[in-house]
Parts: sequence; C-alpha cells; structure tokens
Amino acid sequence: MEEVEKLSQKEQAQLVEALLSFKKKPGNKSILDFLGIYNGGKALYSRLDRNSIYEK
Amino acid sequence: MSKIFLDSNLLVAIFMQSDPNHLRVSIWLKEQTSGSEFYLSPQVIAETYATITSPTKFKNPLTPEQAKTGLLQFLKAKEVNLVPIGKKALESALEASAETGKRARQFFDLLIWGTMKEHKIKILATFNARDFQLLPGIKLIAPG
Repeated sequence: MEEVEKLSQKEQAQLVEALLSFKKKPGNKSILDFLGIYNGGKALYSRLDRNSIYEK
Repeated sequence: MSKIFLDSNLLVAIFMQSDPNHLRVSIWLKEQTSGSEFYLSPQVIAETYATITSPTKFKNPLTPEQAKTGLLQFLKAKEVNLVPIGKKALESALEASAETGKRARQFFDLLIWGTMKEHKIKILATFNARDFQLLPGIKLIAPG
C-alpha cells in the first residue's frame, strides 16, 4: 500500500495558518477555501474507491 | 454554468492535504470554480465523513468535531449544492443493478448515478471513472 510523505514543518505551519483563517471566515466564500485545510498525516491508501471507503 | 456532481473521493482530496490526489484536485478546482456549480448528496457527505475520520485510511484521521465542522462549513460554500436521494434515484439504482450485474458495495456507485439522474446532473467528477463507465447518460471527469 502506497504511503504519502509526511508534511514538512513549513507545510504544517502553512496548514495551521490556513485552518486559522478558515475559522475566521464562518460564512466561507468559496469551495476553494476548503483546499487542504486538514492534515491527515499519511494517507494509507493509493486508490480510494467504494470498496476501500466501506472496508473497516 | 456546468453542473458537476462531486464523488466522495474528490471531497476527501479537497479536505485532506495528505490525500494522494490533493494536488490534482486543487489545480482542477481552481480551473472550474468560475464556470461551475458543484453538487453532492448526503451519501457523499457520509462517505467522506467515514473516510476522513478513519484510522485505517489516514494515519492521523480527523476528530469527529473537526469533520463535523469542516463538512457543515463546506455545505455553505457558495458553489456547493446538496441534493436529496429520492425515490427516483433509488429506483434507477435498483434497475441498473440488475442490468449491470453490479453487486454489494458497487450499489453505492449506482446510487450516485441514480441521484445524478434524478436531479438531471450530467457530469460526474471522480477519481474512479472506471467504476461508472458502463452507466449511461453521464460524462465522467477525472481531475488531473
């Protein structure tokens, strides 16, 4: 199973900044405001189909 | 204005920077937003929630509170429209299940298709186009 590299310190800081700015905008202007707002660490899949969505 | 239905794997990639498709969906969305409206159903929200909070999908999954907040805010985005799964969608999915021979979890793909049909949405954005290839009346977009 393919794993994704962890984010760098700089990228993590950017994410935190994005998350904070997201919280400041409760009305949310655009779908683009949601790009990458969360860091899920590593994605433990390479292809997310319905079988993998529903598997435990 | 194009009406585009977003599959669950796309929504996961929008939210999660560590998703393998995050960069691709980011570039694609920036190209699409001026001329498109995006549609999704409660099924997509449920599947996205199940994925982004799952420790078998992400090493550090979101907490239920994070997922709740993010998804509720997402539904308020100006380009996003939530459509219900009605009787017509279920009937279409059941009819298609017999015609295509799709089984088990594949039914949920058919339910996406049935929902699109019910609401006259012709374009599906998904990273798993091959799961929908046999279904008529929709155009598939695979971002990136």
